[in-house]
Amino acid sequence: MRPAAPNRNVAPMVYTIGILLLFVAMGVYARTLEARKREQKLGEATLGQIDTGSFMLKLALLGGARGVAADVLWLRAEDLKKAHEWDRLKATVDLITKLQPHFLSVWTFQGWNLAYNVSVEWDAPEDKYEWIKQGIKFLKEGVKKNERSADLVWDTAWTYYHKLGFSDEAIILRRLFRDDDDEPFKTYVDLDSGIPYRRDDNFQLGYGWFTNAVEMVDAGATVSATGIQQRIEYVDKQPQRKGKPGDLAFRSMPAHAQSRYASGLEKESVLGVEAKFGEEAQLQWGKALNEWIKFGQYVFKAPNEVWIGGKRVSDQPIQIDDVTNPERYGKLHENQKYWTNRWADQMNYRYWKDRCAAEMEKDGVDARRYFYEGTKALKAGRLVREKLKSGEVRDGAVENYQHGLALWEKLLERHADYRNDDLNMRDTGLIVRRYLYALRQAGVPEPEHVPFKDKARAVQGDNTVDPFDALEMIKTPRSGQVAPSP
Amino acid sequence: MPAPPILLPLLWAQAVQVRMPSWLQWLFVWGDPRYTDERAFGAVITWTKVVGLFCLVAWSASWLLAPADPRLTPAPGGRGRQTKLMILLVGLLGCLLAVVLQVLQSTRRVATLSVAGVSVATLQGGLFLGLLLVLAEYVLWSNVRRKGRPADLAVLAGVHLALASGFVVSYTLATFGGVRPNWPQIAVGGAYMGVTYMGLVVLASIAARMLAEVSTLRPRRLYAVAWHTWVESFRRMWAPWVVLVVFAVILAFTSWFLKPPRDAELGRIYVGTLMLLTSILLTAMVSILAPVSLPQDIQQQTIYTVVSKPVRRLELVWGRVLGFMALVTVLLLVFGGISLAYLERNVGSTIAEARRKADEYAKAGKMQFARLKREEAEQLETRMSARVPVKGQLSFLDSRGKPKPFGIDVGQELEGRSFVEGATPSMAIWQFGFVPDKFAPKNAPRFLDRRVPLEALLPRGTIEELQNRRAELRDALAEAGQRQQGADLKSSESAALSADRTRIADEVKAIEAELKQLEDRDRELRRQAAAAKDRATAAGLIAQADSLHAPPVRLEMIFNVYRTTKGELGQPVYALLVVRNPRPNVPPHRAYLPIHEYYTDRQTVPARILVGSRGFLTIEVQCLTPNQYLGMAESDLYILSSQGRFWDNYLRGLFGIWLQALVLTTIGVFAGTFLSWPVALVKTLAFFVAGLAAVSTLQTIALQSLTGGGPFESLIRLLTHDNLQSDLAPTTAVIVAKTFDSLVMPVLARLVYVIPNFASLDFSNTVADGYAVTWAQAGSTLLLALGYALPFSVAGYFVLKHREVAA
Repeated sequence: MRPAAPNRNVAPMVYTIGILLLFVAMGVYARTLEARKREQKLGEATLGQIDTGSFMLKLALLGGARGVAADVLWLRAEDLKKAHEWDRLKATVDLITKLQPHFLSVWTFQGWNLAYNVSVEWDAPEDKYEWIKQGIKFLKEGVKKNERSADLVWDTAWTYYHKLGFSDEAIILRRLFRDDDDEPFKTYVDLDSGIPYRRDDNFQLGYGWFTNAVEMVDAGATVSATGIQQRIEYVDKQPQRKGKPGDLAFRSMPAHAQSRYASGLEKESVLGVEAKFGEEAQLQWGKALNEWIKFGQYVFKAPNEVWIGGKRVSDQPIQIDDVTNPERYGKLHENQKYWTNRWADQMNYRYWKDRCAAEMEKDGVDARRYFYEGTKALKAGRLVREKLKSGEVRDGAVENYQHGLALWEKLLERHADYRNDDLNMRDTGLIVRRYLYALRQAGVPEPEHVPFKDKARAVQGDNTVDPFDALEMIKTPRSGQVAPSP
Repeated sequence: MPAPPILLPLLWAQAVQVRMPSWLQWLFVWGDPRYTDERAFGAVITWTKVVGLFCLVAWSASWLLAPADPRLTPAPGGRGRQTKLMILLVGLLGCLLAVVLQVLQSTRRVATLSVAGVSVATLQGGLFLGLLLVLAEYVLWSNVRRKGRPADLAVLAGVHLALASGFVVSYTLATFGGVRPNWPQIAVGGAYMGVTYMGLVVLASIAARMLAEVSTLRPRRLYAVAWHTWVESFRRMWAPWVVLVVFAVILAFTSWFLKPPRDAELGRIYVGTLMLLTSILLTAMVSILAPVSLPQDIQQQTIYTVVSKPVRRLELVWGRVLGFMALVTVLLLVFGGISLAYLERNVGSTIAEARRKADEYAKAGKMQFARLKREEAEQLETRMSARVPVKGQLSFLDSRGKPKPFGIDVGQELEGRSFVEGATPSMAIWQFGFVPDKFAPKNAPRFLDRRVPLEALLPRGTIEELQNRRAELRDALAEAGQRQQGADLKSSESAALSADRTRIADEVKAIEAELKQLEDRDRELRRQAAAAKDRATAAGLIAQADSLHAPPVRLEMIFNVYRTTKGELGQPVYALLVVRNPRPNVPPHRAYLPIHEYYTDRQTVPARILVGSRGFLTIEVQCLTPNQYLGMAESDLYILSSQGRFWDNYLRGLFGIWLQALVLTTIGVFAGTFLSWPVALVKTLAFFVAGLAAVSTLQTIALQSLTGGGPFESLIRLLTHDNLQSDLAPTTAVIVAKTFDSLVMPVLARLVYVIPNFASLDFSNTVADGYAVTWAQAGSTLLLALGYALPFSVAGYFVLKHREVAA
């Protein structure tokens, strides 16, 4: 019998049905996926702002080609860095982030690369500033695209705080920041209230961003406690670097930034901008004290386990602030005392808390004003009190230091922790040394009682100057030629 | 004919001691493919030799693989054919085993065996290669005798004669000056030269045939084929429209993908991107259209109609190239126009905005921001022009004042720049004039012409130009006087010199009169300006006085700063710049300048510095700030001879893209002559991608400087995570990989001659950096492109000629 001829219409029909079935299955699966993404807050929109350019690029390089393209661009970025092609480097790095906007390491690494490595290659401070700004803006762009990343928020805060505030050229960079008319760059939005704050000082911006990072970690901890995070299975989970339990430095940064801002007010830490004292300084030191107390009262957990009454106890609560409260401290278990003490020492908590408490007092601020005026007079060669042509009497370096040290002595009697700290001893010693130098230069006999005279002896060979004080670093026309260091 | 200035290889080392006649040197230059004349036409010689070698391969292959005449050869499967196949197999297997043995010896899996100082692997390889050559020789002779015309027989004879002459030249060179013959060296040298001469013979025969073919070309037919191609390009996938739309769409959304970090670089990045986009779109378009064209004609049998007409095959190939290139030209002009308008709108507005901001900052007392914005605007304006730099030669004095070819290395990753130390005698010196070539071999010093173009910098009729002419004439007068006083001068010569002197003296007088008039006028104008009551009148008078002088000489420089200490906070590093005219009575020009790293620092020098210099000038740069270093490369300082318009420079930049498209079109048309359209398309695209991305790797392979072995060994290293330097254990896999590499690498190394180097046809960086693409540059690049396009199109013609398209 002749075999039946195959029906030519069967195969196309089978294919068509197969295709349709696959489409239906895909549709159902996509809807399920969408629902899960919504439920677990995993959609693109919930990660951060959606970028049209990024979307188009990702569309053009479907699937795995994206990773390869990102790799090639990364290598190109490295080559451009070697060739000192900074602007092309930045443009290339931007393309990488368009391809992989949720790959956090790119934002962290390249933001740091721009703000630290590229900026240092430029000679003029204004060019350095421009590249630090590029780095910070890059990180902020990363935050926009990854709104849930506390790490990127912290990186942004750190760059505002550290790169602008602690560079060798910090006094000039801080001035450039102050003069910058880029409003969004000088504004942070408080995560809690949603209110934007525009600030002229990089430490204030650092404070705002650090605070947001801490709040985000705390909010994340709450989410974690509800168990939603645990249900998510990440294909390529990116580890959280900052704000892990026990990350003391992370939590102390808002307090540090606020303290730096307060101390920066009382000297020419911004080139060409006079120091500020009075109520403003008192207020800022008060705010710093609050931040330290907030940090001190945060409940950390002891990392070890102990046996208490035959029971194994873990996660004992630790509040660093207890070291400054003998009553509470006395009630602690030995293990708690150990960790409270150890972490307080590690963070130099006693010093910071007591310093803020001392500096926020009127005596503290006044003493600082006398020291500032004294140094200005010394640099200008006005050693003792003089009468101006207008009839006005103006104190010289000697009188200013004298008044200041008298107040300082009284103040520190009330703040033993601050007084006895090495950092303060050195600072006070340097002031006393200047005072003695002014006395010698003016030919005024040394008084019988010179407060903290022993501290001056201890810093006799110390010739360092404060790199964050323009009065000491720059020969400004206002202060005239810098006198030789005593 | 002068002897070629070549660096002779060690093989011919004796030639340095014994003066070799120039004809022998020329024979060597034309014979050995590894060496060439070092003058400009040396590249053409190399090109001819390489093309000759490829012609030889193609010619041999065509005769070796030519289907034999059935009347003269035994039937397929006959004994003669079987014997030849057996010999071929044995020969190939023997060669392969020789390679395996060589790899085993190099990896120390087996001890190196040698007979009379020659390794067994080499002997074996030589033996089997010889066998294959004998077979090839036999097949060649029999095929050419049976099928060839007398001309082919003449070429065959010529090729053998060329081979013999190679050995004769090699022997003559090696024994020149009575040196004892070194037979292995003579054999190797002879083989190299013989094969090259063979290639030249084949090339000459092909050139003769091509000349005959070219003489039959008719513009009317070329035009007809080109027009057909043009029309077809629009019909096929509406390619030009698609390209145009894609260009417009991408341009409209460029700002989504491309955000220059600083406005200063906006122009540079936009220009680079626009040219890249134009290049990619057009080259991609021709890569798709050109290879598809001919195969589809053949497939759809429309070619039958064409070839049955009196159309030459060369007209079919070149006509197509012409058609595609006409399309490329029109699209390039459209893209160029759109790009220029786009740049004008974006960059122009950014410049205006930067200037406005700079003024605003200056008013507000924010001087650092004002400087930044001003520099940004200047940088943008400079880049949107076409500067013609005159570059000198850079040498250094070290910290003790000793001359050095390079400065101090401060440890930067790329060592392009070297540094001078601050507040020491260390300095960088740029010399203009006839300067010794730093890279010439010591035994063959060379001078480069780096003179300052006085005719461009001193406009005719200006005070400085007249002073310069006077100085030159006075020199000539003094020289004639000296010669006249010299001994052994014939009376006729003395009389001629006297006449010369009188003529020159008259000229000097005339110039002096003219000069005096101008100088008086200059003084008068300045006096009036000083006495003028209002500023505008004074400025007008000063401008009039200035117009009597040549414009000041403009210097541009970009220096790097390397600080060993922070120095004084906020203070720049300072440099001292001294411009010297070698004439003793011209005072040098000095300038102190703060260095703005990565920005172009500009200095103007009064034009009088050039008077009497004859184009010779020295520019010295010292770093004045102690403990700091200034870094520079030769091209970091130059005299600006002119600053042209941007738009025509941009169009010259597009010419580079046109050349890229030309090369790809010829490759595409060539591929279409013998491949089906999908294969031809893939082949052309492969050339396109390889020309963009693989040229540097191929160069590394050709120079044998590839670390980590060839592709197969690299694959093993990738899989086993071994680094590039470590010795691989001689496992079987490694031996197999190395054997494959030994076979593949020589082929890959030759690809460097075939894959076009698109980067060298690219002017985008020059245009984006604001430097002029000179006509000389454009001309040499055109030659380079033709160097690729011509052989490919000619090869296409031969394939098409021998292909039975209309059968």
